[in-house]
Amino acid sequence: MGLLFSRMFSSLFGNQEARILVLGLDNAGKTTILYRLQMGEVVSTIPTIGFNVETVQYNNIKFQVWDLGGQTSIRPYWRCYFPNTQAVIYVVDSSDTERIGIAKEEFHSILEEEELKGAAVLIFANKQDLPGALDDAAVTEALELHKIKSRQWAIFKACATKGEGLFEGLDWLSNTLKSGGG
Amino acid sequence: MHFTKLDDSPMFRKQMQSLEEDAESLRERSLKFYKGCRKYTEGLGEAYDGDIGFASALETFGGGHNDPISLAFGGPVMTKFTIALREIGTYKEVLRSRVEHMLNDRLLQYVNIDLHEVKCEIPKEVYGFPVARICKNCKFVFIILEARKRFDKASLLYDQAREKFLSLRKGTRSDIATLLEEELHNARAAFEQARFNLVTAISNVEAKKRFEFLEAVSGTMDAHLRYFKQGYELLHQMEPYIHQVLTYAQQSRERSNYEQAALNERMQEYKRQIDRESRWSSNGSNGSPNGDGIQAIGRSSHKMIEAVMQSAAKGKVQTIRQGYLSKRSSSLRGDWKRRFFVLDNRGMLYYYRKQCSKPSGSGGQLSGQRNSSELGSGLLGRWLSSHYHGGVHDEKSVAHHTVNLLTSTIKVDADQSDLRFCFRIISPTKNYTLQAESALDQMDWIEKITGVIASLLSSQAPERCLSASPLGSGHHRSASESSSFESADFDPSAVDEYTSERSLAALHERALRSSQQQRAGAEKPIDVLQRVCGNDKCADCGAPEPDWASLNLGVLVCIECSGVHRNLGVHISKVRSLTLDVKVWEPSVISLFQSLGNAFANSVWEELLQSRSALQAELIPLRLIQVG
Repeated sequence: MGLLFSRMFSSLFGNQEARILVLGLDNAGKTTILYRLQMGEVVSTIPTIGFNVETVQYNNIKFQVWDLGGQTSIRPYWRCYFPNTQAVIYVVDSSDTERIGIAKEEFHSILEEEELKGAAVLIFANKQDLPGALDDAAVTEALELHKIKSRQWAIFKACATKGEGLFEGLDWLSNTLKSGGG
Repeated sequence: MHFTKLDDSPMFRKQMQSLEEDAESLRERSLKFYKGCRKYTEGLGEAYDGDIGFASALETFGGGHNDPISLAFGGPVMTKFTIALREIGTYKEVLRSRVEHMLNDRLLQYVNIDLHEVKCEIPKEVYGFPVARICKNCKFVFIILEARKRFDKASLLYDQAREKFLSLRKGTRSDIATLLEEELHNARAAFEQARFNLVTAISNVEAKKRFEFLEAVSGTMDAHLRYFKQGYELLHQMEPYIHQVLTYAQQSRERSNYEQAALNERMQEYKRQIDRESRWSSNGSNGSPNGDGIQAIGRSSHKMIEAVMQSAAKGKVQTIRQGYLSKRSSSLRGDWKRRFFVLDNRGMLYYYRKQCSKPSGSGGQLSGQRNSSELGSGLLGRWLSSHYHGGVHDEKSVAHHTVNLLTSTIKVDADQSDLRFCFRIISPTKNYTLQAESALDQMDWIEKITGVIASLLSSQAPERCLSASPLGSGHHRSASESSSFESADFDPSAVDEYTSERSLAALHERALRSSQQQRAGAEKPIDVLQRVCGNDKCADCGAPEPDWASLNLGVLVCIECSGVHRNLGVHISKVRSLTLDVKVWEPSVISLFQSLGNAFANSVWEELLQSRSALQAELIPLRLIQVG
């Protein structure tokens, strides 16, 4: 009851806060997306050792976005950040067809996590500007997204360096979270 | 025999009289002696109380168990001394009781002033009963007096009977005469009986006078002899120990002098350093700190941290950095409090709630270990080592609020604050907003913490280990793990986070260990590949010790250049970490890289470049695009 009230109260004043995890293989573009969303510009990035966390205000929602490092030995620690997460943004390097299979495996192992049961999932098929990039339909197929059950999800084509597709995805996410689907 | 003749004669009576007077004077002397003895035994009793009191005082001073203060000056030694002192006290009590028994009790047989006075009023019916039963203590003189009374009475009766008998007329009836004669005869017999009783009593006292006192006094002397003998034997046994303690105290004095001098030196050094730093920062604050400088510090300290972190795997906890930071409280007011933070090589960052008076320097612990090892397994070694352990526990117990850096990140700013020198540590469960005391301080903390995070993450956690054991199972840990972690005592409010952090730490530790087991057979890829010709430097910018690689280009690059490579897309360069990407470094890939090396690879990729010196940073991407 109290939670409901505070939620109603904060949504009246546009102060809703959501905890979002950005996951994906190394070099998928997670950090670039985070800072593109936060600052609206492209920053030159280096591999993330550990994680970055920033607050992004969008559509009256305050997103607390956690961008976790994607290297194989860091992935096991993702689970430490799962509790209280409303949504997962899963970033795929659409041009890295070689590793799309690994991306699929990691993605489905995340979906199996009990702590992320209620979390909405937004998939960015990133790096659409690079040659040989798979489109959203191909990524949907490669990631076997049709297997997702009882969960709000969406996939968007994106190009983080050009800023394409990101805010469309965030629109979907904020609407989903506002309607209580998160 | 004192009585030459037993006939009743004036000489005999006179002799008896004088002997009785002797006995009386003996009683008086004995009384005086007895008073002296009484005083003496009372003194002994008080001395015993004093001994025990002293022993107890010593015990409360330094005999406590697990009391750091008493341990510091050798509590167990004190305990040993206390026991000895108590033992000596007991000997004294034994001496006292023997003197009491041998001397006082015997003397009381001759004197008892109260009973002597009471005796005159002893009711008649007591007559005939053994006087000893009334009071054995005063029996001898009493017996004489009693015998004397009876004798006087018998003598009187005899006199009367004799007078009656002698006043008989010649014409008296023979039966009366016979009666009186018989009466006289009886009176005389009684008189003689009483007289001999008196004689026996007197001679008894006379006889006892000659050995009773000698026995008593020599017994007392013997008791003294035994007392001192026992005391000597006890202390003699303790003698080497006493010397040992004394020698140790002497050594300690010398060592503490030495340490004092060393400490002074260190304090001087510290002062000089503070002076230098304040001068440096006042100079440096005019121009912004040099970025290259920071990088250089970063690189070298990363290497240092790496080395220190390695020692954590061997179970040796070391402090990487410690010092005061201001911490913004998590309450709504958000006020700042000064706290002592410690960063250790297990990747734990914790702080002490109250400013502790004694610094928890690793130096102190180290010197402690050195001291105890110097003493070895000697008598004092045990309590010394227990003392230092106690000290360590004490320090731990005031530590609060750990954060495991493995899942944390650091941000160089403060939320909703424009204060200088701030940084934040963010973990999944908790945020700390901290403020250093200078830019240099802030930079150093950030360097160290970043280094620790990087080191923690790069100590490879194989995935299978994790899938086999979900996070919760961190609770059943091996004995060695639990001992290293449960020694710390945290307050309940921190427990929730702490347990999750702890299981995380256990997870990490296990990962570390299994990766070490793997490594035991094969070397780490980074060690193998950095040895290859040209691989000691980044293929693009020349920075030392590159730990990233381009799989398809076969070169090692630094993390900065790896960012540039990644930006180009996987169709040009496939970037992997030598330390953070575990699966990719299969033997075939490693042998391929071994056969290439930066020197050879660059001779191919950069063949068209005139010279390295002409290379500008902006050109790298262009060149690579041309190549790709």
